[in-house]
Amino acid sequence: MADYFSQSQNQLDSEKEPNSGLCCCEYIDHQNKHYHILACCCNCEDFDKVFTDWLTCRRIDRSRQRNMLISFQDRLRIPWQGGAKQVTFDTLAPVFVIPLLISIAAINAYTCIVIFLASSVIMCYSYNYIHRNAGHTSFFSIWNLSSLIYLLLLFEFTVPLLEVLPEENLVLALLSIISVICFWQTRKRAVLNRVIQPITGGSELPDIAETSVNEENETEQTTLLIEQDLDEVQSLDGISSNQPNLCATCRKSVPARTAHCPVCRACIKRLDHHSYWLNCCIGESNHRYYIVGMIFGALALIVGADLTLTAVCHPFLAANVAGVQILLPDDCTEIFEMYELSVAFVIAIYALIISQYILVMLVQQGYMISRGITVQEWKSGLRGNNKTVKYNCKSFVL
Amino acid sequence: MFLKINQRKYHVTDLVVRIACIALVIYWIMPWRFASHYEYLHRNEIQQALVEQVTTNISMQRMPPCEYSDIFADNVITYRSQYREHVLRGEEILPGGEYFPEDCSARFSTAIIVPYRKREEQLHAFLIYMHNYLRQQRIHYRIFLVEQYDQKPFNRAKLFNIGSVIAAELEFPCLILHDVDLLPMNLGQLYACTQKPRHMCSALDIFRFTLPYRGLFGGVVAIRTHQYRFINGMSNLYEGWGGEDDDLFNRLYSHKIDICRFEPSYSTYTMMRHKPEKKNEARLELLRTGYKRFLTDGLNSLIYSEKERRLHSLFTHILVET
Repeated sequence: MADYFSQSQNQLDSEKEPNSGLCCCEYIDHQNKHYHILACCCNCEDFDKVFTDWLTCRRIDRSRQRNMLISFQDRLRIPWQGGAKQVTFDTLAPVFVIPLLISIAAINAYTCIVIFLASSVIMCYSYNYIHRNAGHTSFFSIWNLSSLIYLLLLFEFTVPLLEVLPEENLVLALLSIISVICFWQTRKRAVLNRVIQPITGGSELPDIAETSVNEENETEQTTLLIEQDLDEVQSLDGISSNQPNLCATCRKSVPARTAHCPVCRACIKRLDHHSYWLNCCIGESNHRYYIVGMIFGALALIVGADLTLTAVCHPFLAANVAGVQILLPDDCTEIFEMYELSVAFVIAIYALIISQYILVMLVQQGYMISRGITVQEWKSGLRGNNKTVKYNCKSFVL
Repeated sequence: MFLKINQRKYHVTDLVVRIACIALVIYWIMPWRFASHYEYLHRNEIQQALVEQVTTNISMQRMPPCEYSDIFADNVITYRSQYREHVLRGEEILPGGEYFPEDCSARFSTAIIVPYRKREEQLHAFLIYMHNYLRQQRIHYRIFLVEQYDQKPFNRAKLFNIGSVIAAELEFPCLILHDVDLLPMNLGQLYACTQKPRHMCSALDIFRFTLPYRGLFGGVVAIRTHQYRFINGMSNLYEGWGGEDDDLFNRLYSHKIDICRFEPSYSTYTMMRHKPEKKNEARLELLRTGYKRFLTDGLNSLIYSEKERRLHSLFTHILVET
């Protein structure tokens, strides 16, 4: 792994190296110098100069001003294991914006509707904008994480928990924990997706040899499956098996079904798509975790929303499945009369909206899996392999 | 900084984060923050637990005793619009809101005591539904509406005390202390007393049909008249919303009287919507020191003046000044 990290051509990621020997308060600044957080107010030449100019009413140098702002941004960091992490506006914004939006939406029905409509439109627009331009931002992943934390916190503090059975809470906790673990693994395993260039190797190596370098730890079964996959696509595309695949951006040979992710600046094996919500690429080695995480996440959100809505609204007994009573809300008309309950109502609606989004994504993923292709391949014009749905699903699961 | 445990090195922050996560998860699923499960009488045990006792006029009847086993066996859902709209066969109901079955002699006599002030709409819905509901249970019952006439904060417990005194004058062996905004949904919750005082509305819809805590003993309560007198009734000091039901529970507990409940599916109640009452700020303090006044504050210290007693077609109206 260390090889990979030292090989990484991503300059932005260089500060995240875990083995760089930095303590949690140190970091490497934009001029590649060792720095300590406590020194954030010391020794900024540009700032000194600009400030002096400003005090003495002289004209401020444009480039100095820019450098000063860059250093400001660079020095705004929080201590983190393996080096202090930079805090930028887009990473900080969701932490404050989400509670603000929730507290405004809980005032009355009109603010609730306006906030939900406006924020969904803005989020959709900004997501599309970033997606089109392949921008590099952790805004969405931080939004995701802080949504999770705020949903859990507000569930604990605003929902009348004395009306919720401990078993129901246990189900909710299990679903959320499984989902969070799966997404955690998705992120953790994202680096395994990247194509590693052997140090001594030229670009002429055949693709099978290349995969075997990092496939050592994987079970034999998976390796077989990958080879099978390779055969499939190659027969599909009509490429002869001894001609290597080339990445146009990296100018190197890569295994089949590999695509270049412009956000991660790396070639990703069987790239499905780059997930901004997790800030990582979904590919060969984390696709299954991603799907399982989405399924459990959607379930957890729906269960949590139902628990919240039935606790704050008027419930009715919808069904009795094998002794388990399923309640649904039927009357939420006076919910905005008590602020605490309306906050619970707002987070429940928010959870429902997220769960619907996840369900749509799951339907899309299910379709792609049944056709045996990835989202990336769909975009490039492929409309499915010539295998049966059963075969495709089986080869995805196993 | 590293710690060595079992010949493996752990980073201190790593360990702290992991332990914190595990502690949070354990706290998250701890059952004591949530609704509680409770012991209840199973549907087969209900009939043995009931006390068969009637007023003198019913005991004089020479008719075969009524049969109740089908009510417990079927436990039909009665909360339907047909029972909520009109009083069906209103001619059966005697003046004062009293009823007993004509074709058999009832085995249970019950006084239903409803404290009341300024809730016309709810009272209307309550009387229509309750008469349709209770007559299906083939019991002898009478509804006493105790209305607080003065402008002081609503004193629910004191109105119950007054109602119990009047019901005792009329020889009712069983009291049901009933809120005007609660309606039973299942027929199996027979409006009669069990040997132990019974909390009847343990599956309230606004509480998601769960019981928030085991000591909850408010809403609808069935208690035998002599037991109510034995514990010296309820406290007269709770003005405004809250506390008096917990005080009743404490009184029963200090007299070593256990309570009971029916199965959740037999105890489903629905609450009619209303504006929340003004809460009694002193209730926690009163509750804390309540045990000192169990013998001095209650039925034996009850002072009230009855302004009016009138027999309406659906209820006995008692207007009192507390």
